[in-house]
Amino acid sequence: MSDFTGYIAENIGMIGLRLAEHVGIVGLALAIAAPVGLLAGIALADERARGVRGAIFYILGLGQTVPSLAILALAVGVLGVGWVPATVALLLYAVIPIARNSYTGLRAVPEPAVDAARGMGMDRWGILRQVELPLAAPYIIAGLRTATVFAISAGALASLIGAGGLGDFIFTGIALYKPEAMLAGAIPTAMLALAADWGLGRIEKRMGRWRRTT
Amino acid sequence: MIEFIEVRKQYGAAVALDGISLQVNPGELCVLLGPSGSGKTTLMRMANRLVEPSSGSIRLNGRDILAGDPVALRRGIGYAIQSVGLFPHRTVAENIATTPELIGMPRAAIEARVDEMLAMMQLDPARYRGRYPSELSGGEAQRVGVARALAADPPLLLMDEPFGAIDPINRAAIREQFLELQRRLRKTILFVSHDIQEAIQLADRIALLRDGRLEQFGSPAELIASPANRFVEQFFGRDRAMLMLDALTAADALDPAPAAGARGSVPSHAPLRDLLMGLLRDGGAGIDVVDDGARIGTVTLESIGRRMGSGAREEREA
Amino acid sequence: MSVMEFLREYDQSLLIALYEHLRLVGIALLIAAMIGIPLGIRIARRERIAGATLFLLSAIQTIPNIALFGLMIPILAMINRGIGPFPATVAMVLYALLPLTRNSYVAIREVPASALDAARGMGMTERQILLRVALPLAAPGIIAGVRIAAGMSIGVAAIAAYIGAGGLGLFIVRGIQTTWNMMTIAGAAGIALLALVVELLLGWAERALRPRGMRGEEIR
Repeated sequence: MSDFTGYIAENIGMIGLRLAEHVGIVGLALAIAAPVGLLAGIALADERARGVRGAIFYILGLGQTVPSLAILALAVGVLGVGWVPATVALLLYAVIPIARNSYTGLRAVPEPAVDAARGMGMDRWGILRQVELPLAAPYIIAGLRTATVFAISAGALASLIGAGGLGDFIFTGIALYKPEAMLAGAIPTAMLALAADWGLGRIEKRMGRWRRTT
Repeated sequence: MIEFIEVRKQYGAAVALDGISLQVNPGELCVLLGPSGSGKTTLMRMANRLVEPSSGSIRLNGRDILAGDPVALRRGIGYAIQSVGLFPHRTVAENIATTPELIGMPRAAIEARVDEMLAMMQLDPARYRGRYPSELSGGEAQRVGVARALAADPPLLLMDEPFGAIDPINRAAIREQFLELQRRLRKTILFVSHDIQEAIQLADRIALLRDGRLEQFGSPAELIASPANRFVEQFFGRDRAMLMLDALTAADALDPAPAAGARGSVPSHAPLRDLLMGLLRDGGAGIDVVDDGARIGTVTLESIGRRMGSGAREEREA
Repeated sequence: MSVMEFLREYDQSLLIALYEHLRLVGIALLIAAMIGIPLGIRIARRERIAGATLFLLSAIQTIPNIALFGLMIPILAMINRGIGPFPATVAMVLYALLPLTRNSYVAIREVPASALDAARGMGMTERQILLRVALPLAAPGIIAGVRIAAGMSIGVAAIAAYIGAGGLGLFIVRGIQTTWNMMTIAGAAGIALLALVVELLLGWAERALRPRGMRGEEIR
């Protein structure tokens, strides 16, 4: 135990750095994936997309089946090593649940509400902004939550392709058989994921406050 | 043949049934009638021990059903509920065959029985055997439910608003068919209903329940003409005369003397209301009542009036 | 080296890796299914325990897989089982538990209550109700849980290569270590293909198990 606390104390700077790298990659990936996913969800929810919807969701579904390590490795094959392929891989992974949940959320908006809005003279964008998006918000946040956990998880693997992050400690620990290092990487990663999940879960619930059964 | 003795059911502090005692004779259709929350469904479900009484005993043909294996008990009792509960993953034929299979009837006998039940419910076996519940209309599904309950030829049937989900237009027809069936089969039936018309039309005797208490137990005519208390009186509302006409049959208003110019013939169980309407419409002198080919009397406007009059007198005296 | 040459040179290694991978996943899924599916069915009746159980499993799932390794290896090392297939299998079982348990739970709860009541009223024993009514109706949902669990396990097994458990992940590991893209992609593509094939097969099984009367979704 004392080895462990000693190790932490010694390497606290490094841990902080890796944490920052990790959050950085995840944050960047999400910052791009969120609007892209949301727009994709909006586009798919539109009536005009009816025909292609099935096919697109099928492909997205398959895409999500592919393990994150494989996607990271494929990204390396194309883009080389470093934080760029890592971010791209995380991005691709995160887009899918965001797009899916945004779609579901928009489809779940009660028809009478949209109807009333149209009747009151709102235009397409107005309806979207003032009625549909607020009501779909809990679903969108749920998608963001899933995406965030995925991204944090995949981000831990990113160290393998030279992108840094908390995974560094874990893999170094494994390679050198140093349990302290493993824990130094694993515990912050786990806590990061749990905290993000909990935090976004709270936001999701608060946004769902006014969704009583209509 | 089924007897409830001081049956009580409590859920914590709430009393669902407060000491019910009643006896249903073999071949009798007893309607458990009452507003929601009166405990009628709870009472029915005690007969096959889906609900266990807090105290009291229940006897089936003299035997205490609370001792012994509930599963074996249930296989000998037909059970038809409002939500029907057909197995969605099995065909109509397989659904109906369920109890016969459970009791180990031989395959050939089961197949024959399935066809017999479907025919009895006026569903063409060839067309309905292989269908799935999702392919049936509400009325068809309900009929399959009743067929399933009758499949093993149980002496006792428990039915909980079995015609509830059928649209009003078809409901009257189904009830009539069911009554016809019951006249033939003479099963002992505990039938839960909240519909007064249905109760009067179908019941040999009605058990009127309120808040877990038995308010009165008797024939429909008795409950209408001689209510035991204010609740029973008000339950049947103000159309009591009309309800009486529904409750009574030709057998209740017979004039043994033949009437000149009497026309037509009806069985003794024909509802009096129809006969009255017929006589008023055609201005006839009377209608003959014939059972098994032999004339047993005639119904005339006078005989109806006399019967209704005596009922009214009983009312005023009460 | 061209793709064909690579495949010819490494065909044996690839097949061995594939076999190891499948074995890891298979054993883990089997254990997880034997625990998770009955668990899901059992808690379907008990609301309070269900909430707590699903919450706990959900929390385990939120922890990123390598973090789970990172947490478990030191612990398992204490009983001298810190590397190789053992910690990998333990992690995969823990991970697979959530989809298996939750899907079984939901699938059983969605069996129409009226059908269960009718079955009880007609005199089926608890076991008969489970085997003849509840399970056939819940089967597609349960298989969906297996499908999701399988997909996850394939992913976790890929990482397990790092702790000496073998499998297709090895190609990725070595490919990155030697910066040989061909090898990395071979591993990645292999895993991706495996995941897709399993997904399609189990998806087909799920549809095949849907009882014939239920394609139309109407429940009476």
